[in-house]
This record gives sequence, structure tokens and C-alpha cells, in this order.
Amino acid sequence: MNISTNENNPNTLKLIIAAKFAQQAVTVKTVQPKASFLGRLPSIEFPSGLILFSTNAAMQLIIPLSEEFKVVNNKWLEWEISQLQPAIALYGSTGIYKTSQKSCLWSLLKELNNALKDKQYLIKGNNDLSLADICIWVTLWSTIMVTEIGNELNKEYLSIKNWLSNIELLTVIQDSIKEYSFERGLKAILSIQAASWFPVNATLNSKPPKPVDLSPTKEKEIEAVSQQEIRNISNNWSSKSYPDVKNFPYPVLPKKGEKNILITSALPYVNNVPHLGNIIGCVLSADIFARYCRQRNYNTLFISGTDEYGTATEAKALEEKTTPQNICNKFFDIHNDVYRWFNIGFDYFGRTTTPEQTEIVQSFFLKIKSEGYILSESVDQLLCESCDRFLADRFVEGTCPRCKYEDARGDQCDGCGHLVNATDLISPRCKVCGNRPIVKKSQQFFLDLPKLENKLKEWSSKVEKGWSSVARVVAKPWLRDGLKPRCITRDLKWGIPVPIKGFENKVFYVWFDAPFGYISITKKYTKEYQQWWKPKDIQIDLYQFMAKDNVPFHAIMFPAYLLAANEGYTLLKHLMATEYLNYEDTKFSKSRGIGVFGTDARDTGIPADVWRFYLAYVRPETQDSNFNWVDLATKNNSELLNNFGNFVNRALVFVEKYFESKIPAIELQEDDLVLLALAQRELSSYIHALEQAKLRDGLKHVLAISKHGNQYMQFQEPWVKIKGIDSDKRRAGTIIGICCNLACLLSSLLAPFMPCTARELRSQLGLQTNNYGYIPDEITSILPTGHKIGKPSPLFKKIEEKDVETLRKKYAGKQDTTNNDEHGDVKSLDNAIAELDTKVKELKAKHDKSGWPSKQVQIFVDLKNKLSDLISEKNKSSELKSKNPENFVPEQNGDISMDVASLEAAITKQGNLVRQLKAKEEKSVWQPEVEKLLKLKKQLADLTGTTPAPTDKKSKKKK
Amino acid sequence: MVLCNVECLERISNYLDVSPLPLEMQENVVVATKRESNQKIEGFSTIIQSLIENSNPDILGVNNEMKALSQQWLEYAVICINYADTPNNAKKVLQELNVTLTDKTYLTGTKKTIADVTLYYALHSIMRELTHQEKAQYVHVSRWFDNMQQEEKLRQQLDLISFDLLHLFL
Repeated sequence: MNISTNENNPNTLKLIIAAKFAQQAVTVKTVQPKASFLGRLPSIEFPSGLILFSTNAAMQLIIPLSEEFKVVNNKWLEWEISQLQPAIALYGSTGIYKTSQKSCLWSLLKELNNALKDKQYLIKGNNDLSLADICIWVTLWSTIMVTEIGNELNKEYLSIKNWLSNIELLTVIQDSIKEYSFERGLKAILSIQAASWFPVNATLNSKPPKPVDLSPTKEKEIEAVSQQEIRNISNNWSSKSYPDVKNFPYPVLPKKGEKNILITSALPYVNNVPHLGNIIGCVLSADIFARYCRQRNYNTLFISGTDEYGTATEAKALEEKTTPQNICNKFFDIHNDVYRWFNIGFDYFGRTTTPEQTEIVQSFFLKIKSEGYILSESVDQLLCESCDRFLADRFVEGTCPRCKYEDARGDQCDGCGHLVNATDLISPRCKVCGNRPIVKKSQQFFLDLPKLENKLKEWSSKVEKGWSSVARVVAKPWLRDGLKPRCITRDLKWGIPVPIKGFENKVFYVWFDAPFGYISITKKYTKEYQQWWKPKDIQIDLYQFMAKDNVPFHAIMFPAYLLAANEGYTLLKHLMATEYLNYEDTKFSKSRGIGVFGTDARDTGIPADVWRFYLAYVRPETQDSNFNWVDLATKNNSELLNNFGNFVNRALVFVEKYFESKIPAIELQEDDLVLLALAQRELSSYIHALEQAKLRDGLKHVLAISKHGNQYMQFQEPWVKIKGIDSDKRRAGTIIGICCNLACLLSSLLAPFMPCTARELRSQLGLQTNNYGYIPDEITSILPTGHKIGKPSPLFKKIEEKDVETLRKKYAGKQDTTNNDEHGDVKSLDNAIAELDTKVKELKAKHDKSGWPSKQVQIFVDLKNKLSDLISEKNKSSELKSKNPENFVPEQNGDISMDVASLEAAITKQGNLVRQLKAKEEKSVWQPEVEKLLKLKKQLADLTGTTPAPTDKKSKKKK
Repeated sequence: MVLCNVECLERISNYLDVSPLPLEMQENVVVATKRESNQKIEGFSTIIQSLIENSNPDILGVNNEMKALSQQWLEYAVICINYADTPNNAKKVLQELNVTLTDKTYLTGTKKTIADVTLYYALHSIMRELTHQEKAQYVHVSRWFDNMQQEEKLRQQLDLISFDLLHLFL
């Protein structure tokens, strides 16, 4: 056996003694802790090649413990390594061995002393030296016995003293000491420390750990305010003036030498109603940031709009028997209303179906082509014969060629995050009908991304430091893995026509046209749009906000277009991507009615500002976060009402009541300066956070200021001082004057998050409400003595628990099942079937049923129930009543055989329905029902792994 | 609150199908009391090893060398993971385990032992709070943990933690 050890480590002696006992030979080699596994020493290598760094485990392997005394031996071995050694190590670094704590070194020795009373060896009933004896003996004898503790121990703990000296006399011990000589005492302790890690000491030795939750209402240890901070705040307060907010003329244009901030929020796709996650992901985040920039007097332009072209809109129009343009108009209004209600202050909210967009996209394309970055190639396109159309990427699913994820989409794989070409999918299927599409040739244009790769890399390395971390993580694999040419045209109708002869029937791919929407929408806002997008000699900082799924298109594609055009366009500088927001631990789902959508928010009776506040508070900045009703109510009641609202209201009411609504004179004292210095820290952190668009952190610093204010008021008790002698009254005036000034500062800091509330507060403060106030770097006196305030009133309302419970239930799902629209039912049934199908596949992929995650099983069962509900409802609403009226009820235990049974029942039912319909109705009526039947059968086949039952063939023949 | 606590031991008992012993915390040490003899068993690792004796001795390891290895990692749990409830300690523990698991399926090699089971429970609260970036940073721990949590019996009522490939793909 080979022992590796650092110099002077007493634990090595244990191994040598154990080996002597077992009459085995060892070699000892001195190494540095750096060179060993995890920096732990000593380590021992056995003839088999096994290496152990745990001395205790190694000793047990060398000398197996007898069954009889295993538990007690184990106990002492564990005690030695987890308590005694750490305590000795702590003594080695601090010199402390007596404290009030139970597990301090001195009390550990006492415990040992008691255990050794009247015994020769530690383990009762065993008259031999045990492993526990060896281990503890070595540790004590080598270390503390030759320090000051040794003397005290010899006086107080006689049992230990006797036990130590008895063992020392044993031959095996004497021989071993001769074989491994080292210096006892402090040096030995330091050697143990150098080659081990006892985090318990870090915990005992240091300040209490920083709470992970940044909630400002939790007590935190506050670092004392320094004299320098006091001096600064005192100077600023008396000498600096508070600047005004600029009045920006229309249109806002960038200016040389000033900060020019161009902000875009990802263009929401027109085809659906945005939910809370969409709202905080892009438009609301961008709005908060834009408002902050304006209050910092930066030249700020914030634009967004709806993304309207693409197959999804086309499909929806077909479905609703109208034109794509009508669909867009309808949904544009919905989006516009939702954002207006949320007080999103766009400079312009436009759309992509404008002549400006067509002109810009076409001229960009021609420019990029003339620069030599466009290839033309014949490509294999997927054509679904049963639907009679070329399938857009989002209408194909299949197995990812890269990671073999089964449900990769035609444009992107959710499994590995890579973009895929729809034709590369293994066993593709049409998302609408489930049939396998055929491949047909078609001539298309490609963007030559490999040719642009170096330019992109050069640009990316310069700017990516300013991106949010999720943006970097998503974008990185792209450039690292190399880029491929990307097809930018499609065989569709609803889009921007390709301006090249021979391509009249094709349009641009939606992700080619959409990013140019930012430019065309700016052009709708001002003719001078090129000052923002093609600046001459002016620095423009472009901030783009989006959820993480949009990152590749903004980090790679859009910059690639602009770089290819080579005309000095403004490129993305700060990519602000968020993770996803979940709803009550599940996903938002429009089809299942789960979650709050933009149009629902106003029906809840909760003000838009509170929504904005809470969404910013849970903004998924570093990881997916969760919307929770109870949490919403708690945050409203604790942070807004009790913390922020309470502070400003108390201050203002006090001025109204005792100072005739006029700000009293302020004479700063030490206590006041400390408060202002603490607020200054939060203000600096707020600005630091918001400059990087870390909105969530910024909001917490706002709340921290009002918390400091509350504590200050509570401590100073102005309501007592106002009733005292004149000097006390003056003091009360100072305190309240300071609080009012802080309230004024708070109104401007809160304004980006809660504009209506901030405006209300400003009117209560007697300030102009045509702006939100400047956000200063330093705290100064804002409200002069004698300034007259307005009428104070509470800013926030309590949200009752029972109300949120009602709301929680309302948006927990199944709200749409009352929909009598035939079409809706068929569609949701189709969705449910598709989802069920996917889940079944997922579950099947895991062979062992015991490995099914319980959540999945729950979803599975839920879906089954939903499916059966829909089927029975469908049958009820059908004019033809089934002869057999008993409802089809599936089993609920998630058992495979039961699933088969319920599917079979569903198939029988559907089969009857089809037969009845076929007897009386036209094909157009029964055809969809036949398709449903086929789908159910396919599911059954998937589940059982067998070919469909013979009835299937029959129905096919009939068809 | 240390991580090698009563709750952790109760989960291990459940997993081993042994009725849990009455447990209490004395300072940072768990103490169990044996029902029949009223004998006290002190120490987290000691209690676990005694639980195994009564149920499934092989889960410690099928031979003496494997047993020694899993004892080593139980000891590691007691000394180190126990205090990973602070961010700095958690970071170092995850770093060390990431190194350890670089070339192994389980802590002791290719067989799941009680050490893996114990670490799964002790680390669950830490793993749950990791950001995607951290999960990617400790990719070997993430892989091991994800593999472990697939066993439903082991997971009991604990959350299934997402190790979404999209984010682990650095």
C-alpha cells in the first residue's frame, strides 16, 4: 500500500498504525496537497488501484470492524472527523477552544472524558485497542497535547490523560511513531488544515451568511456609514441643485455628444393574445428601461409593433374564412389595447404590413444581393399532399437530426436549441394532419452566413459583454459551431414579395422581414429615421428586449443582414433577453385557459401599476420564474402598502397636519446624514442596476430606501417631538422635511415601474405632473423649505386573500370549455389529441413505468380526462344522439392497459358516430370525424406498439 | 440549518423501506434512538450505516473496497455537504463533486450506492436553486443528479428538477 501525504500530517500516522496492526507493508511519499485529489491528504492507494482520501474509511478497509461494535466504533470515528478535527483546526487558526457552544473543543473533550471513565479503552466490553481509540488518540496526541490545552487537560480530564499515556506505551504505537516522525503541536494542526476542508468552521467563524433572497424587508447586516459618505452627502445636500427633466421635442432624434438610446421590444406575433410572460419578457421590460432613460435625460426612442406576415396568420385567416389582413387588423387592435392598458409608453407602436416595410425589406435584399451575400439554390421543400400546400417550418415536426429529440419543430429544436432545416428532420410529419409530407424541389434564395461569419464574430466579441447572461448562453453555440447558409424565401402568399424576376410567387421568410420592422416602424415615426439607424458620426446604443427564444434571430440573423448590407447601420449593443415566466408552476396555455392573458388583466380589478410592479419584481432575469397569486397579494400588501405607501403617506400627512402643508426648515444632524448616506447607497445601486437593465434588482433598491425611511421615522418619533419644546419642534420639522424629500426622490425612482402611482404621488407632493422628475446620481435637497404640498391620500389598496383565491381559481384552466362554437371544440380536441399523443410518446420512451415523473403522469391523466370530456361534449352537442348514452369514463390510474382500454372505448364511440354520420350526411360533415377516428387509432397503435386493428383497414377501404 | 438533517434521514429510511427511527438534532448532530433497546445511535453516517444493516447491506457496496468508498462519501456528506447551505460552501462542494463525477456514473463508479442516495437528498435543495448557468457549470453533477432523480422511489415527493438541454448546451 502506498500512502501520499503532505509534510507533518498526523493523519498519516493512523494509516501506518492500522497497517502495522494488519501486518501489511506501506510506503510513504511526500506530495503537495495541490497535486492530490480534491487537495485532500493523506491518501492511500491499495494494491487493486483503489485510492481513498478518507483516513477513517481506509482504516476500516485495512482492519474490518467487528460486527458487534460497529455502531459505536462508527459513532466515534464520525465524531472524530466531523467534530474533533474541525474543532482542533479552528483552535489552530484562532486559538479559541472554550466558548459557550456545545460543540467547541473543550466540551468535546469533556464528552470524551465521560466516555472513558473507568475504562481502559473507549469501547465498552471490548478490551482491545479499537479503530476509534487509534484514531482519536493520534489526533489528540499529535496536536493539542503539546499546546496550552494539554496542561489544562491533564489537570481536568484525568480519564483522557490516563487513556492517552496507556496507549502511548503500546508497542504497535511506539513502532509506528518511529516509522513516521513529525513535529507535534501547532505545526501538525496546520498540516491537517492544509490538506482538508472543514466548512463548519467557516460557518462558525464568519458573519452570518448573506441571505440569498434580496428582499429589502428582511433584516440585513448593514455596514457602518463612513465619514467620507457623510461628508459627501452633506456637501451634495447643501450645494448641488436638482436638475429638471428635459422636454423632448417630437420627433426625438439623436444628438452628437449626448447619450442616444434606441430601444426595441421584440415584435409580438400578431396571431395571439399576449400573456403576462410575453408582456414582462419584452414590451414591459423595454418600457421600464425606456422610462428610466427618459428620466435620465438620455435621448430615447422606444419602438415596437406587431409582426404580421407568415403562415400562422395565413392559416388563421383560412380558418376564420377571412383575409390575413383582416386577421392582422383585428389582432393589432387587441395588442394595442393591451399595451395601452399596461401603460406601455411606446414612442411608436407600428406593424409590419406597411408599404414602408415592403420597400425597406426589398431594398435591403437587393443591397445584400449586390454585395454578394445571397445564394440561389434549388431546395427540397416539404409539401403536404393531403393539405395541398408547402409546409412552413412551424407546420412540420419530426426527430431532430442532431440530438434525436422526437418533437423538434421545423425551424428549431427544443431539445438542443439548434436551428434545423425542416427537410433535415428525420420522419417529418405535418402538424395539421399528421401525414408525412413529400419532398418537392423549389428554387430559393439563401443568405450566405458562412461568408459573414468572421464579421459576425468580430462584432459579437466586442458587444456581448453587455448582454444578459441567457442571451450569451443561447448565442454562443451558434458562432462556435459554425454557420450554414440560411434560406430566406418561402413558397407562400402572405408576405413581402421577392423583387426578382422568376420569383414572383415567393415571399420573404418571416424572420428575414420581421427584424426590418424595427427600421420601418421608426420610419413611420419620423422621416428622419436614418438618424437613428444610419447615424453619421453619432453614437447610438441599441438595446433590444426579448424572451430567450428570440435570441438567435437578434444575435445572429439581424446583425448578419445589417453587416451584409455594409452601410453603417446601427447594430445591436445590448441584448436583454429574459428566461420564461411560468404561471403557478405550470405553463401559460391559451387553449387550456391557464394563466392571465393581457385582456384578462384589467378584469381582475387590480390596477395596471400593481401588475407592472409584480411582473418586474418576479422578472425572470437569471432563471425561469413563477407568477403566483398569493405572492402577488403578499408583495402588494407588504412592499407597496406597508413599506412604500406607509412611509410616504405618514410623511405627507404629518406635514399637512402640523406644518400647514408646507415643507419645514431642515437643519441636518448626524442621524439625518446617516439616513441620507444609506439612501444614497441604494440610489447608486439602483442606477448601477438599471443602467444594465437589471430591472428586478433596481426595484428592490427603491423599496430599500423607503424601508430605511420607515426605520428612521420610527426611531426619531417626530410625533413625540412635535409636542415638546421649541427645539424639539424644530427637530421634528427637520425629520419630516427629510422624509418628504425622500418621498420626492422615491416618486421619480418608482416612476419607470409604476408611472400612474408616481404621478399621483407627485401631485400629492405638490409637484408638476407633466413629467416624472429627474433620476439624480446624488441625493440633494429637492423640495425647498416652504414648498406647498398637495392633498395626501393612500396610494395603494390591500389585496385580500379571498379575492386572489377567486382569481386563482378563475384562471386555473377549463374556462373555455363552455365555448359553443363547433369549430373551437374540434380545434381544442385536436390539440388535446396531439398533446396526448406527444405525452404518450415521451412516457413510452422511458421504458420503466416507475421512472415516470409524477408530474408527467398527472398531466397525462389530466389530458385523458380533458379528452374524454371533449369527446362526450362533442357527442352531446351533435344532433345525432348516440344510441348508447353512457358516458365514456377513462380510468384514472395512469396504467398502460387502462389507457388502451379507454382509447379503445373512444375509438368504438367515434366509430359509431362516423357510421351514423356517413349514413345521413355529406362527406364534408363526416370527413373531419373520420380523421379524428384515424388519429385515435394511430394513438392506440403507438401505445400498444402493434399495427392498427382490422377495422381500420376496413374504414380505409371505404374511404 | 444543516443539510444532513432529520428530514434527509427520514427520506433515506423511506427509500430503504425501514420504518424511521425516532430522530432529533443535538447541536449539529443527528441522534437516533433504537426502539427495542433504547440504545442511542449518534451521527448521520453512523445512523445510515445502521439502517442499511437492517435492510439492504449491499447498498453500501458489494465488496469491502466499494464499502470503503461509499463510507468515504458518507463522511464527505457529514463534513462538507452538511454545511453547503451557504453560497460559498455550496459552490466549493459542487466544484469538488463535479471533479469527482467527471469520469464516473456514480460516486463509487458504476454501481449506485447509499452514498449516491444520501447525496441526492442532501443536495436537492441546493440543486433546485441553481441557475441554468450554474447547472451547466457543474455539468457532471447535473448529469449525475438528473440520472438519480429518474428513480421515482428515490424522489418521493421531491420536485423533479429541470436540466433542460437547451441551457446546458454551452
